[in-house]
Amino acid sequence: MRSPRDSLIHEAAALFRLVDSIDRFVAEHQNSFSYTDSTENFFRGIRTEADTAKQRISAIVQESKKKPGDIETRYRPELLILRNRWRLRHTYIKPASDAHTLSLPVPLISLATTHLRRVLGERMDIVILLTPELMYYHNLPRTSVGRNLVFVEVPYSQGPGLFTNLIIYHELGHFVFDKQRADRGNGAFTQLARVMKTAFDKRLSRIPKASDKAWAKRVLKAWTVEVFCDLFALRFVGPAYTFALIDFLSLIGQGTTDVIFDEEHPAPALRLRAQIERLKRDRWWDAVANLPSDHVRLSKELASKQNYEFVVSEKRVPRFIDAFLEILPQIHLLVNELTPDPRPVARDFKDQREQIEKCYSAGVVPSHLLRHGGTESPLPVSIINAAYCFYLTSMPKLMDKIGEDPGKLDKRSELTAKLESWTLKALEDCQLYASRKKGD
Amino acid sequence: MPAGIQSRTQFLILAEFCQEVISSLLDYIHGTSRLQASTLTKVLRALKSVQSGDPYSFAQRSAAALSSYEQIRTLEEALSKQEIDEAVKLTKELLAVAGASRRKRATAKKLITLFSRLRTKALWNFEQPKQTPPPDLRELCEALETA
Repeated sequence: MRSPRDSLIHEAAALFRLVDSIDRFVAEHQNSFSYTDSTENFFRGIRTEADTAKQRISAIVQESKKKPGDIETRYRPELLILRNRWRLRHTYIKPASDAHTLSLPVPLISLATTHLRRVLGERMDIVILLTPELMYYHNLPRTSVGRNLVFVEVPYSQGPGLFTNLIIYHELGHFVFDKQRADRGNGAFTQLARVMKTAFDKRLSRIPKASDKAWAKRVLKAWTVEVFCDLFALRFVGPAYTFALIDFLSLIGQGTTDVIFDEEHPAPALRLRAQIERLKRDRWWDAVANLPSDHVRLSKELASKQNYEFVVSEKRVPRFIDAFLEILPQIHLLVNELTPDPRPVARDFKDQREQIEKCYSAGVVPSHLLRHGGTESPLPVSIINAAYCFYLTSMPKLMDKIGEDPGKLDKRSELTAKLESWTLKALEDCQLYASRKKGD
Repeated sequence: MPAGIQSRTQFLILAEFCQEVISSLLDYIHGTSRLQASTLTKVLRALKSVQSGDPYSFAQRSAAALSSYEQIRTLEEALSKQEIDEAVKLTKELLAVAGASRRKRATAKKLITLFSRLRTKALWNFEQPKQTPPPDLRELCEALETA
């Protein structure tokens, strides 16, 4: 039988090898692909952490020689914890390595980074992880590397596209909300926490066990954050976000006719109701309300439903929704306080939409528009929204124009990808003009 | 973050917290380091918030040990209410008396035993493939319906 120390050395060697192979994997990818600066920073940090971990693993083996009595109490559990830390890390290093610049909508990520920095008032960068799940997530890796990095998981199949990737803004909302929590937040955040506590005390304080109370609070918080993230995204990208959300929910087969809240999400009906209310207040809604599109009809239909239910394991749970509806108005106030007024952008969209759509119907990148005998550049968010409106209403016309049957799906898919790439090119041009202007 | 990874991260944070406590107490017992008052104060604050019966705060950062549903549930599974009270008592004792003594070292050993059990449970839960189940809904709904 092996001595406890021999077993420890065996485990340490296996862990050392795991960390070393992750380190090599990262190094090989850095040499083979081009990554955004934020992903490069992340990789550099991981490699530093790998060095530190390898040193610590070696030190554990040395220390255990001096204190064999501590092997079971201290050293083996420490190895186990280190191993688990690297097991978690292992799950997101591969998705980060897949996210090289050719597989991402880089201009959209640059735009989102600018918006994020404006909200936080500090340098923050976005690291995209391409996940095998057909889902978007905000990720919080347990790493010292991540202080100025925001991790967003994007389904690998959606990588370089534009439309569904607007959901990235929702995920950034998660980061901003958590940051408010960590930094103890601004006035509106403190007020939101107070309103949440009051609603909980009034409706749910009879829950007996401490862990059940924590669960109930987590549910209320999860719903609050989801609505916050939707509204946060709307403030930056306008109704295009709502359209993207509808497209994505339908892609993953989540019933958009749903009035059911689950543990993580409020019902889609409530989410759309809150979004339409926000779009009306921000003067976006009247620009898209009459769009001849199923997305708008569906949004209106869902927003009119209010017979919500909270269901867990097929059991209807009372009082949670009443508590949440008391919190909802405060979420709008927090979003208002954190994000810039979007009304000038909505105005720009109304002014420029027709011209931008004209460009699309001629296959032209709409970074410069001919207006009043000269040229004008629309705002990036106007371009995104016009592209989405065009996608929802004018694809059959465009197909017809190039002599294709609108029902020919391969051509339609190809043309949609083109529409997205024209839009991304236009965003890239806008960013180029802006940086040149800065340089002048 | 996918729910499974989110739960596992919470268990790992708890295991790391226990490890920090145990390592610092072992260093004290071996005489290689003084008692870390800051670690013990963190322990006391975390345990007291659980004792209060309502440890989750809406305004609190989520990375704190013993504040999430997974962490509190793990604590409830690993230690009885009396043992949590005992852990609070032992931590207070360690913080109250200055210097080193045989009695104080014995107190530290008792605290290590409790935190070792909590660490084992946290690491065990980390290994479980399933997401942490919701509470007993029958009991919860009854409490809410009679409110």
